[in-house]
Amino acid sequence: MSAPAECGRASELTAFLQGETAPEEAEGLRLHLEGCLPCGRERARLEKVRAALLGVERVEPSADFTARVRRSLLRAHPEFLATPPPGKRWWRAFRPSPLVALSLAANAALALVAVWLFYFRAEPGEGAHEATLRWARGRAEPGSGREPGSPSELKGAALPGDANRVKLDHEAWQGRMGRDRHRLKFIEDRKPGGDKAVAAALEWLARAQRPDGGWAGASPQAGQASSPHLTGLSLLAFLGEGHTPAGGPHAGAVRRGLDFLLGEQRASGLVGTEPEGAMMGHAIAGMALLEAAILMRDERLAAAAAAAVSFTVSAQNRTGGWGRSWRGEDHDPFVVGWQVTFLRLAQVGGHAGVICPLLQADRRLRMAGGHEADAGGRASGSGGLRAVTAVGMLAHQMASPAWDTRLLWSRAETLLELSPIPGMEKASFGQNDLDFAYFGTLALHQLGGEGWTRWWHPLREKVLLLQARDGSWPADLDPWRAEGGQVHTTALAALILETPGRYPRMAE
Amino acid sequence: MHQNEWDLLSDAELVAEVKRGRLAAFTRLVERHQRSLINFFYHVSWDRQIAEDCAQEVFLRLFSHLDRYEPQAKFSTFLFRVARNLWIDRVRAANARAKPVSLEAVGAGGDERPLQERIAGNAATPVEILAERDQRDALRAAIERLPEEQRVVVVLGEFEGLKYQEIGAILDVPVGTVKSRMHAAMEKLKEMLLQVEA
Repeated sequence: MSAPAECGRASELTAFLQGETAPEEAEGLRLHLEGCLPCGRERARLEKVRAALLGVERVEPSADFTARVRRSLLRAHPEFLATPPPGKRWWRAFRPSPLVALSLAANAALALVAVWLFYFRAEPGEGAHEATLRWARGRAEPGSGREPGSPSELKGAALPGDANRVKLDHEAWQGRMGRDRHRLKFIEDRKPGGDKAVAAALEWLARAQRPDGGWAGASPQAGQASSPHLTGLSLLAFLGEGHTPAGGPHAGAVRRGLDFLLGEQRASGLVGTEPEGAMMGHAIAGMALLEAAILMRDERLAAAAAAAVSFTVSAQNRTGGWGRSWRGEDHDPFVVGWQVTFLRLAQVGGHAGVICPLLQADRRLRMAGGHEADAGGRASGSGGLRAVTAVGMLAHQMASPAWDTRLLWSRAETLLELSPIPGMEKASFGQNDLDFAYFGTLALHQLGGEGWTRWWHPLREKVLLLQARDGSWPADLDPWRAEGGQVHTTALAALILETPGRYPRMAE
Repeated sequence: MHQNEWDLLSDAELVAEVKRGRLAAFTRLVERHQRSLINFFYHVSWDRQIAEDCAQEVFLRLFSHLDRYEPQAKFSTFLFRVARNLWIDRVRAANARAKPVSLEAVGAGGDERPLQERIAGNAATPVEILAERDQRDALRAAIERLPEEQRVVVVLGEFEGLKYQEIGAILDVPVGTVKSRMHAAMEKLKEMLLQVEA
């Protein structure tokens, strides 16, 4: 037998860890935990139990289970074999389901909130922003008289190699960086949106966290180590809802996840254990560190994020793309998608040194025209090319100070031809592509208008329908990232659902 | 209605369609909830065949009880209530078939534990299982040794991800009772795992 807990509040920990403590009590308990050693030990033991429970096997229904139930029902109630009674009115076919109505209402509310933030709360608040941006500006040598993001640096910027032909529009970028201060405020003001599906997903992710603070693709019994890739993805899902180490039910999970990533960072800035094949995980982990730095205004995180940004810039290959390894030229479009999003976020945070790499990436993808031979392993002719098109759209939106709207609309039409999640049954999950769903959602959200509406509502409903009761999504929902398991599908699905509240529209 | 259109309907709307005699709506309900239901029975019985048999019976009972379903209530709560009642019936039937003995009676074959401890599960103890170096089975045994009322709370809360309030509605007990049962269960599992580690 272990020694009895030495603190009377230890009995409250089970409910606290399961998210069943009232918010006002949770905050008090969280503070108590920071200073109470016995409760800290008890919490560690209970988390170990919960991690072990997570590994308990689940079973899948037999392939013929549904058919057996149907046969039993028909034997017991043969009246089902009769023709269904009439009475379904034609107009019901056009009536939106409660889910659609809810979705429309939620989006309308989000739009109102966004408008309110931009038009009524967009006062710069100079002091606060200065403090927030210090992480980026602090990277400049003290007393050098040259800060990243200053007009002098923009004028001195030059595109390396054959990219010199790309025109750098100083005025447009300066104007854009001015507007970025308002965009940063949007990110800083993130709050949990009250979406039950996202809340359930985050609860599941919190339960899936390993004792070392990271996340891994397989069950603990499988022995798979926690990875920066899955840890970054999971953290982005928490941060996307405004959960930080500062408070809330997931404060501990986020803090431990960030500590894991900090421990995984090399002296070069790479977040990962080895350079080979680690570039996608690095970008995702770097984004998590960067978002946390912005939300927390934390110098330690800011320094780590800045080092990760520098590594991404150094890893860009000579043609302006990124490969799966350092300066690799395999041009995995999804690696490029994550790197570009990462750099754009850094630029919104005030890091002007990433503008040239962004322009090069935009140029590289525009030249490819969304018709890369290597579509991240997807067969050409399938949805793979559309996935590449989505990344190309997003890169252009992220990297260009002036959008080519004709190009974007033509690409949007391509995306809208095919759902990224056509498979709603287990047997047809092989047709799904969550990378396409994620990048397509980001790109079309940025574009807005009818294209966004046509994309978002059906996609959101499908994502919600596929969510399991425990808050997760099936591991085999996305055949392209099978190694990531349920953690990958759950984190990415949560990020898709969070999209309208995660980033502001750049064009606004 | 096309298969994908059924997918867009809520559980309450599907129930309404079943009441109108639409088999496809019933099929969709089965497809939507079979996994969680089978896993509920699996985690209380650790027998896949029993789990599927019970789940099938729940769906049949469900059809007979649909008139009792209030559309404003959560369908999964209704479903798990039916499941829970079925499981109680099974446990009672199994107990009725067994020879009545005193709860304090110790077992034969050297098992010194009183029946009320053994009734929580007749599997080997976690420590014994550990001797066979099978950690997964040890945890399984630890769950199996929980009193049935605590085991169900753990299964619904930790495996099915239900909130205390919903578990309370399923078991027809106050949230405070759910909370105390969950706490007691986690304490026992913690102690068992600590023994295993030792």
